[in-house]
Amino acid sequence: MFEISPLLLAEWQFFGSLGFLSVFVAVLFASVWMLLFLKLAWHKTGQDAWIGVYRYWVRVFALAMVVSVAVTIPLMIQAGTLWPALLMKIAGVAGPLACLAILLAFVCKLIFLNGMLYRQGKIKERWHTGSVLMSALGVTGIIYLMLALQSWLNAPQGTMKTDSNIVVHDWLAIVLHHEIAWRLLLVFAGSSLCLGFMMMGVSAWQVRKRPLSQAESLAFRIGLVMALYGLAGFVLSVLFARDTLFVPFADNGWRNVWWAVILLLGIMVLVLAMLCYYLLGKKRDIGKTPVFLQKWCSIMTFSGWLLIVLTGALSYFRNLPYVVYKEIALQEVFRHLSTQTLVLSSLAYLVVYLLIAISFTQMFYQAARYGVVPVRKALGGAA
Amino acid sequence: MTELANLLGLSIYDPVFWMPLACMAAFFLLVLMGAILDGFDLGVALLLPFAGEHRNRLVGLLGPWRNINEFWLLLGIVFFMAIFPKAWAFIFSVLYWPMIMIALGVMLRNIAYEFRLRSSGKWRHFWTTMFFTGSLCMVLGQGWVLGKFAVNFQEEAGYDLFALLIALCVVALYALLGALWLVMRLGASQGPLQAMAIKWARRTVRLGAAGLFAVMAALGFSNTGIFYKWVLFDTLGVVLPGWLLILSLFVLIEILLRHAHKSDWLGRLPFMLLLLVIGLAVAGFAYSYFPFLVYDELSLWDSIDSVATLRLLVWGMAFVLPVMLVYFGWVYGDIFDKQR
Repeated sequence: MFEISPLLLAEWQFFGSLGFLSVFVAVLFASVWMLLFLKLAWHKTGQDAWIGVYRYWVRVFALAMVVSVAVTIPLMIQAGTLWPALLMKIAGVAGPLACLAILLAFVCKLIFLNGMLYRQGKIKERWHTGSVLMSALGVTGIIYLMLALQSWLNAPQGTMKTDSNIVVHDWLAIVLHHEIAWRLLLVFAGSSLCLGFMMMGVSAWQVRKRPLSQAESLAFRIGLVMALYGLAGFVLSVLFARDTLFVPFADNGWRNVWWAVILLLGIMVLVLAMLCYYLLGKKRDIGKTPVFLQKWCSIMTFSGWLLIVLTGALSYFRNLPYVVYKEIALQEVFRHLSTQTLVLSSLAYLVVYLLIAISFTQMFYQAARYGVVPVRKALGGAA
Repeated sequence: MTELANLLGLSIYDPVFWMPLACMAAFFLLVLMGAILDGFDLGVALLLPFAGEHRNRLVGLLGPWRNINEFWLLLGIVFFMAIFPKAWAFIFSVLYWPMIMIALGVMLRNIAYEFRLRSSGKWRHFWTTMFFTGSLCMVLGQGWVLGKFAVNFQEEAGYDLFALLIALCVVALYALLGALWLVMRLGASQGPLQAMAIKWARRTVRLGAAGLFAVMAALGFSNTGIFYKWVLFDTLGVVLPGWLLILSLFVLIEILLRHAHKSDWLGRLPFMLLLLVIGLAVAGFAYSYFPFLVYDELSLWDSIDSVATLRLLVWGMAFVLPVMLVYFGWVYGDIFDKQR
């Protein structure tokens, strides 16, 4: 009979939640900087198309934020229930970083994000743009702290291992870890690639239903630029920091995942090359491109999600069997649970994640088809 | 306090002694605020299936505080993890299913509220149901955790059954909090809905009281140390009046509910009294457990990682806490007011 080890199941359950969160954090990260760019462009040119793009994508941003906050709590709970001894050992590093990240998220969401999402038109435009800028900085700060933790897990420095736990002796070595720059580039590039394909995909889907508005055409072009930039950054970080960030290609167990990433990137490059050929050449409008290309673009809408999950797996499983590289093995911090318990809880998580993903997608397309309906909260305004 | 410090071989001015205490006080403040401020939100959600045509109105009433309320649990979990990692490891390893329930509940609840705002027709109805389901899971999970704490995490089937019973009573307690908040918030001028809220409150008040007393009784009878602490001559003079005060507050709430519709002031009083009950219960729980986080296993001082980590967190708190308190004052300023 087919048997699966509880440790493996626990790893996959945790990675499932982490991967799910990563996808929405990626959308959040890229979209907040794009929204800032849109607002600045609107201020500079005064053209309404920029703010038209802003109105749709701020909705996507708001939904991604809701999902990210909601999924963070189960992830923390999973960390505690599956690897209780881990946080006991690395609390000196993880505790302050996680605390700071949550407090930053708290302040950022309550002050700046509320201003950004619910106060447009009620406060001065420059204050609103300021709140978008602060939200972008806040989101980046939170991601930076989490990447600092991941980098430290990958290559511990600035700490000492005692009998029972790990003690920090140099915080600067942790928060200015040498891997953070590469990781930040990778996350920003992956997020841009993911959002770029979402933007192109939804415009391509819209053009097959009806003629595009000026804002929707603009969204497509912005998506294309983001995807191109994201691809360049992604390839750069994979080429130059592959050994630092990912499972080695030579690792037999992970070679198929590497090939899946390469295949996906290949298809993305092909679609982007064809789009560049048509859009940068004679026909500068998605509506005038061949139907097959429009179809491909719509099919590829969520390809960035898959790329993030696959590269996330290559990065997450790099340290195995260690969780803190060469210092703490995953096996020694695992709380032994039965296979049935883990299967049952994984199924429960899966059902909720599927519900969230399907609903997010449904709302994404509904807003693309019928336009964004303003949300009325007691705070007022629209998101 | 000096005695305790001496027992630990420390001075009361030593950071190793007072920092875990300060962090624990801050954590209990967080728990109390979360239980009250997220509690009425959870309570209202639990009443949704009985609200009929008023469902949308009830969910709408929660709007101004939803953004902030969804953070209480996250703050609590992360703060607890950062300051008391050893207790965190112990507690999370023995509370697998209650924690899973909380995790699923909180996710469903937060998502459902926001998605509901952006939906219409049957989807809106679906998300309202999910909002209720998520809230119920979360409250049952919290009640289960409380029950396990009360029986000191004993694993036998009978204890688990008792913990589940406590979970049901906690559902009633949250529903009571939600109903009393509605009675206060709606005011006497909004007759039919306020009358419904009064009816819900009257139905839940006895079950809620029973649950609270069951937790307290279990706490004493399952932990010999706590029982002795209560019945010592010095402390019996505080514990017994405390129990009687809680009981009389519940009785007073029930009596006042009969007159709550007569004026706004009378409508406000039961909610205030319940806040007092919750405050007393949390204080009593803290007093009974002190200085342990896991009874007879891990004290506050055993549960910390290092003083250096705590120092970092205390500095962080010193900066953030005043900002947070000002912000909470601003956001929650009108929570006790009648809806205009």
